[in-house]
Amino acid sequence: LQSLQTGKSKSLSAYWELTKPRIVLLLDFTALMAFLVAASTINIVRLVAVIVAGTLASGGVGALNCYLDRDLDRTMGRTSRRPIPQGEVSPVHALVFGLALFGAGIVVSAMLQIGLPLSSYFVTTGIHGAHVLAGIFLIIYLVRRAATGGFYAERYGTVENFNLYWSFVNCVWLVVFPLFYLL
Amino acid sequence: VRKMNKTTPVAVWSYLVVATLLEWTLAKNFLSLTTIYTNIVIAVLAASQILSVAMVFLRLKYEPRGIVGLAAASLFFAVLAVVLALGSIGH
Repeated sequence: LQSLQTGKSKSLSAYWELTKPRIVLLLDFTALMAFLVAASTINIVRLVAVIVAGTLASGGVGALNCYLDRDLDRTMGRTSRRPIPQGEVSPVHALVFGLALFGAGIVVSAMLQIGLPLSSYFVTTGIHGAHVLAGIFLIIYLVRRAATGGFYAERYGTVENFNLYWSFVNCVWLVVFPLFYLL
Repeated sequence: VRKMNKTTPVAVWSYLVVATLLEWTLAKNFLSLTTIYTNIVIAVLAASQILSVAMVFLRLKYEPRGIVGLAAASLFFAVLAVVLALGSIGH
């Protein structure tokens, strides 16, 4: 149990290192100063949102930088201690982590920019659109696999699972359509 | 495990198309700020569409009762979350 806990905290620490926290702190400090100078009155909610969006976006970009430079990082002494060259985080995990953090930062920024009602619309329809797009790619994959005899009476679990996914996406649309486009 | 009739998915799909067209017609011709009845009818139509998809395409009709109860409980909390979120968005 102790080794499991140590492994978990080591993994968390590796992901934390991927975001290049010292650079993030510097950028947050710059953003804070710019906010204090530019704003005539201090809105604490907006200030917190700016810091959160900045932290997420710059942390995500830091992780993406680690992913893109993974080969070069191995060859230099200072950067060879980064999580990817050390094997603490796989390149794919770093890429997904970076994109997710960056995406979350963009969403928070968008909410700041356009206000809650419009950002709710864009976030909801955007996420739904992403799921539909993923579904279309999965349909193409399933059709190609079915054409080569990949599914038969005893082996159809993938098709069944896709049906559950697609039907759930359908249910979400049945809520989104009247909520945003009719009412 | 009960087997699904071959025509059932086609019937549900047809109902989805008809109900969507009906919702659109209601919203275009009868939606107004002075009455909420059209909103209620559209909401009921949408709920019936979701129910039909959940029962047939998500297979709830053919599952044991425990699974159906679990799905109903999840739906309750999902609706609660949407309703609470609507209050926040409106302000």
